[in-house]
Amino acid sequence: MSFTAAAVAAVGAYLAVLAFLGLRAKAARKTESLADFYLAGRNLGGVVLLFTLYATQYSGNTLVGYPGEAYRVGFAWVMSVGFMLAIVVAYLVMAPRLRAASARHRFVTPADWLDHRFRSPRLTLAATALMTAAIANYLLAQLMAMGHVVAGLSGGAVPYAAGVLVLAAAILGYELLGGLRAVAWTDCLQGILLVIGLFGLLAASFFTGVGPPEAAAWIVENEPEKAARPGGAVLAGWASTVLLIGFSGAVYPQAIQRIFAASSTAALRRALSVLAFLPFLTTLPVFFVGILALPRLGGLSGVAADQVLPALLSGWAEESGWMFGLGVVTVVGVVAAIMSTADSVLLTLSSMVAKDFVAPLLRRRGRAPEEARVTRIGKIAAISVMAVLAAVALTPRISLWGLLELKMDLLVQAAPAFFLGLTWRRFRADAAFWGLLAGTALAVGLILAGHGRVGGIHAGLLGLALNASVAVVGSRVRNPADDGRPGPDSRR
Amino acid sequence: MGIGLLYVFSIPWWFRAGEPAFVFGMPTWALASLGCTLAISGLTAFLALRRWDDDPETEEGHSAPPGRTGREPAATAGTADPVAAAADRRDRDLAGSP
Repeated sequence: MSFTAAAVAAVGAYLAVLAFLGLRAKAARKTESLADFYLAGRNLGGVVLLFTLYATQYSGNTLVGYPGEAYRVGFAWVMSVGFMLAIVVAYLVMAPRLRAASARHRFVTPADWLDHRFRSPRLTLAATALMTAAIANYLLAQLMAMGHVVAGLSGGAVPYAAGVLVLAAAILGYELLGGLRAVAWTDCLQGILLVIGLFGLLAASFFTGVGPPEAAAWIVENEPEKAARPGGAVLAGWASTVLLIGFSGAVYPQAIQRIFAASSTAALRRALSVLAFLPFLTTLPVFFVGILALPRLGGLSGVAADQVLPALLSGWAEESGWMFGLGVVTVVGVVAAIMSTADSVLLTLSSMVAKDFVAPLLRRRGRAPEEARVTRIGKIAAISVMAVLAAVALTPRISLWGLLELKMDLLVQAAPAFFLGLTWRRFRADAAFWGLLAGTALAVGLILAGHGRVGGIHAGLLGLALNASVAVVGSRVRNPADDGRPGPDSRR
Repeated sequence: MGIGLLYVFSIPWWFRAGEPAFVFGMPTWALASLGCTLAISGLTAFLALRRWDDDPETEEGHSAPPGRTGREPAATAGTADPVAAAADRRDRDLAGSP
């Protein structure tokens, strides 16, 4: 049996298990309420919560893109351990208060908290639109990654379009059946496969190539700049990335919904305490895979470095039987990693479209929908969103889609509304709104002008600095005596 | 504060430039960075487990006012009733606490 046939069969078996889990999750559903469908009845225990946070946080890019980055950048890519950890650190600032508020007020989407805190429809709308745009782009990236990974790892035997369509249909299937229960349960399986795939990669790198000392010697001799302490611009970029990923990763709407879905605060605390160590079991092995690939695949550069993983896998498959098996497991792990991120994003996106955009419109027209109907609207939204994004993923990229690459730089502009909103009583809605607009305008403007980074600092981080400055100054100047009551755009 | 300081030192600006020394195939500046990052992980886990109060008042099934037990639709969990308004005020107090 060829490596491609074995990998396709293994992915097929994996999809069958996902379908089974989707059916089990459907049987476990109790009502058609939003909380039951989108938050698994607010009943996610510590272990499931840990796996779903883990599988959601680490995408296919972790397995496919990061070895290429380590290969390209060298030892400085050790920064990836720190910036993935920054998300957990940022959770720790935000989650206790958000969790306490959600336990009392039964939030379903991030907009519920914004509305509760600020009573400002325009701020809620702006922040939600920003988050929706950012995660729609994230989902699009995952769909495209599905196609590329399936086509790349099968050596072209499975076309790109088939990869996108089959995996997108599979995600829709189990998600519509079981909502967050199905997503979280499949995340457990996907998380386990991700870890097995990672350690398979690392073991294979050690056993088929050279060890770290030999790799280091090769790098010093052939590409010494990849071992030297990074220079000023890289160090600035390192700090910028830690801040950007930390603040934006923590306000991913799908991550916020998991804070709402935890069965208890204790379960959330335990999950985060373990999550804090997972960069060492995820990004660190991937970093080593990229470093150890340097002597083996020396000479790749630019975009070709992204082919590090497929090149390693095809090489291993020819070496021995167990390496063949390990390669097949790694392929399934990569597919699982991409799907686990895509399904979480799709579920959250559909809940936001239904509850934060469509339901308010219906209410304004005097047709307030029942919860079961909003849930049904969410399912239709999921199908529609998936269909539109899959269609975009199947068409050649056009320049307009360059705008969508703003993901993290955009998302981070929502961070002050959450971090300051949770910790600073005097933070005002109008200041938050204008800060968000100013920060977004600066970030987008810089990127469109071709300055994605200025002196190594991300445009999004510069936007965040302006955003936070406007927010703080605006909250102090407008009404220093005000103790946090909603601003002039309040509904009350 | 401690985590911020560890992050500052996890970025190897304080190592001298030039050809690095290696330990187990890793440049010492990269090892130092990983050491700081591991300390951040430990401190984060410690804070999550030991310094984050469960606040039983906010746990499900403890103090949710009548009719707000988590089984009702979220859409009905507004702030028009006095009990919810009190919860609102309490939440704002919490948000303002250090």
